[in-house]
Amino acid sequence: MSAIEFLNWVRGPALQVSLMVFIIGMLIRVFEIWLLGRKKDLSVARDAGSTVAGLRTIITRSVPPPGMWSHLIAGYIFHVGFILVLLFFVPHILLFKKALGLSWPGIPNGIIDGLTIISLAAMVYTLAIRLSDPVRRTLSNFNDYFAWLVTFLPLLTGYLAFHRHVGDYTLMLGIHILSVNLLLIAFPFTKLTHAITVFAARWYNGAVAGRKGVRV
Amino acid sequence: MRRDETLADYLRAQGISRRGFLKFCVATASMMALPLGAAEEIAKALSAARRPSVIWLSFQECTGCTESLTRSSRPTLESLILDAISLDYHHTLQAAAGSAAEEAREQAMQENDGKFILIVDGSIPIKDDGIYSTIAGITNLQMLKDTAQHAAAIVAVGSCAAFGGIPHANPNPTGAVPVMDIIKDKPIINVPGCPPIPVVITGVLSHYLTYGTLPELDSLHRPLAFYGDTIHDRCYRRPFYDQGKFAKTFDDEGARKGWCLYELGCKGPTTHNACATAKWNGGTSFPIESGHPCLGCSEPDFWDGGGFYQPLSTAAFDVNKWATTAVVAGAAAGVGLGLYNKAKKSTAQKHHHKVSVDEMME
Amino acid sequence: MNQLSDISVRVEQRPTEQVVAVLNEIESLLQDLIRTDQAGAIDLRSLPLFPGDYDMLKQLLGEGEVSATMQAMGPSYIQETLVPGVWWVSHRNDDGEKISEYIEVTRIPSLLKTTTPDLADAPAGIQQLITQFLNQQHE
Repeated sequence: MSAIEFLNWVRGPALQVSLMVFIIGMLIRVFEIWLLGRKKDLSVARDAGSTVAGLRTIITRSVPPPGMWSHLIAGYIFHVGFILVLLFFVPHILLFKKALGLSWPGIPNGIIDGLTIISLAAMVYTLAIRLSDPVRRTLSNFNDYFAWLVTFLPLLTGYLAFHRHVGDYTLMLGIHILSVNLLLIAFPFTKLTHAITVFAARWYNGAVAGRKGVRV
Repeated sequence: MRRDETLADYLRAQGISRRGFLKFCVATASMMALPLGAAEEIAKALSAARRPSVIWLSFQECTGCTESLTRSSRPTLESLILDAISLDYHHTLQAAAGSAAEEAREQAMQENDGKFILIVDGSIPIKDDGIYSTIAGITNLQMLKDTAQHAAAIVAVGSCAAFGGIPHANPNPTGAVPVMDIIKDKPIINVPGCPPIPVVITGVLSHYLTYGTLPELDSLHRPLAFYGDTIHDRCYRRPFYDQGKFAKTFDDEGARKGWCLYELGCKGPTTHNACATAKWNGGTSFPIESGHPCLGCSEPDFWDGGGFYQPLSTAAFDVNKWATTAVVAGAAAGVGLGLYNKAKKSTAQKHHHKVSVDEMME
Repeated sequence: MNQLSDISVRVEQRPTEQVVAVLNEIESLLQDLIRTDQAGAIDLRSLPLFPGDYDMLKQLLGEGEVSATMQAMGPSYIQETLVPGVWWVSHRNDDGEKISEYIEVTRIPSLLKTTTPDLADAPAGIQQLITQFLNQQHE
C-alpha cells in the first residue's frame, strides 16, 4: 500500500469507525452514569444545600495541595496547550468546519509550534514524576500509561508531519491521523473519559461530602 | 528514418544544423531537470543512438494522454522525439487499420524481440476475463501480456495505466487495474498524471534514448527527475501558505491576490509532479497559478481522495451523516443500557435479604 | 500566438524573496567564472517564480551591448544584460513558444560559437558556392 493510499484510508474508513466508536462510546458512558441516579436521601444533611459544597470542591480540587505545584502547573500547561493546538491550528479548524459547519479564526503557526513543544515537554515532565515517585509508580497501571501514550502521539506526529522532519510528508500525515484515530477509540474505554466527567465528578464528590463528614 | 541511422544522421538529413541539434539537447536537459552542462553529454549520446522501436497500446482510456502529447504544435521537442523513435504501432494514430495494423504490430514485435519499448495508456479491466475492453477481438489483458513478454521495458503513461485512474475509482465496475498489477517481470516506468505533462512523457523517452537505461524511480516507479518533489515543495504561493494567507472562496479578495489555495482543497502537499516548475501548455501556467487547487492527479486513487474541494486536513467521508447516526445510536444505546442497569439495581434491591441479628449470630 | 503575458494580469502585493535570491545566485556564479573560468547557468524553468518576478528580473538586468538572434529550429534570442558576463538566453520553436530559457553566466553563450561538425561541412559548402557562382556567370 502506498503512502497516499494509507492516508486516504486513515482519513476515510478508519476515521469513520474511530469517530463512531468515540461518539457511541462516550454517549453510552454519559447516559449510564447519569441514569445511575443518586441514592435516596434518608437523613438530614449537615450543610443546607449541596450545590455550594459541590462548587467548592470543584475549585479546591483544581488547586493543588502543598508539594504538588509543579505537577499541577505542568498538567495545566499540557491541557491548555493541547486544547489550543487542537482548536486553533488552521488545518484543524477546517476539519471542524466541514464536520460542524462552524469556523473561527486561527492562531499563527509559529505560536502553535511553541504551544506544541511546551505541551510535549509538560507531558514528559508529568510522566517523569509518575515514574520517579515510588507511590505513584505503584499506583500506576496500564490504563495510565496507555492514556498518556495515545495523547502524546498525536502531538508528536502532528509536529513532525508539519515540519517534514521525517521522510515522506504523506506518510507522516497518515501516521498523525492514525494516532488520532487511536486516541478517539481509546477515549470511552480509558480514564480519558474524564474529559466529559471531570467537573461533574468533582461536584458530586463535594456534594456528597457536604452532607456529612469532612469538608473537601 | 532508417532503422540503422543514428539520430544525428537523421537530424542532419532533415536539414537541422548542429546548432539546432544542440538547442534541442539544451531543451532536453532543461526538461529532464539536468544542468545546462548535461546538454553536451546528451548531444553525444543521442548522436550515436539508434532509433528504438516503440509499440504504443491504448487500453481503457480517454485518449487524453495521446492528446496531451500530440496537441503541441510542430516542430517541437516532443515531435522531434516522436520522429526519432519508430512508432511502429499506435492503435488510435496510425493510418493502417484492422488486421493490417495488427499484422504490423506482430511484425514489429518479432523484428525487435526483447528490444522495443512498450508504451501503455489506459487501465486494463480484468473482471469477467477482461471482456470490458477489447481491440480486434483480443482483450486488453491478453494483448498486454503477449506484447509485454517481448518488450525491453514498459512505460505506463497516465494515471490510468500507472494506477488504474478513473475506471479504477469506486465502485470500479470493470475491475480496472494498472499495468504494474499485471506485469511483474519487466521494468516498468510509471508516468502518472491526468494527463501527464507532455514534456514529462518525452523526457522519459529522452532519458532512455540518451542513457539507454531507465531513470531513477521512486517507490511507485515514477521517475524522480519529474516526481521527486511535491507541488507544495515548488509552489510559488508558498510564502502565502507560510504566512497563513488563504483564499476562502474562488472569488474573494484572497483569491484575487493569489493567496494559497489550501482551504479550497489543494492537494499540492501530497502530490508528486513537475507542474509547479515545468508547467503546462509550453510553460504557460499550471492549475494553481490559474487559481484552481491541485487535484492530486498523479497520485493513486485521487478520484477517491475525499473530494477535490475538501481540504487535506478534513475527513474523507460524510462526517455529518455518520456523526448524526452515531449520536442517535449512542443515545439509544446509552439510554437502553442505563435503564437496564436501573432495572438490574431495583431487582437486586427487591431480592435483598436484610440480615437480622440472629442470622449474624449463627 | 496568445501568451499568458498578453492577458493583463494585475499582480497585487507580492513577496520579493525570489528575485533577490536569483540575483544573489547570479553573483555567486560570476565569482566562480572570474575565479575558475567555469561558465554557469540558471534554468528559469526550474524556479518557482511569482507572476511579476520574471518581468522584474528582466527589467532589473536590462539590455547590454550585445543582442543576437539565432535561427535554428525556430528563433533563439541571446541578449547580454547590463551586467557583463550575464546573458539572457531564450530558445523558441517555430511557433514562438519557449522551449527553454536560461540566465547564462559566461564569456559567451556556447551556442553562438560555430560548431565543429558544421565547420567540417563548411569547406565543401564554399566549394559549392564557387561552383554555383561560376555556373551563373556562364549563363
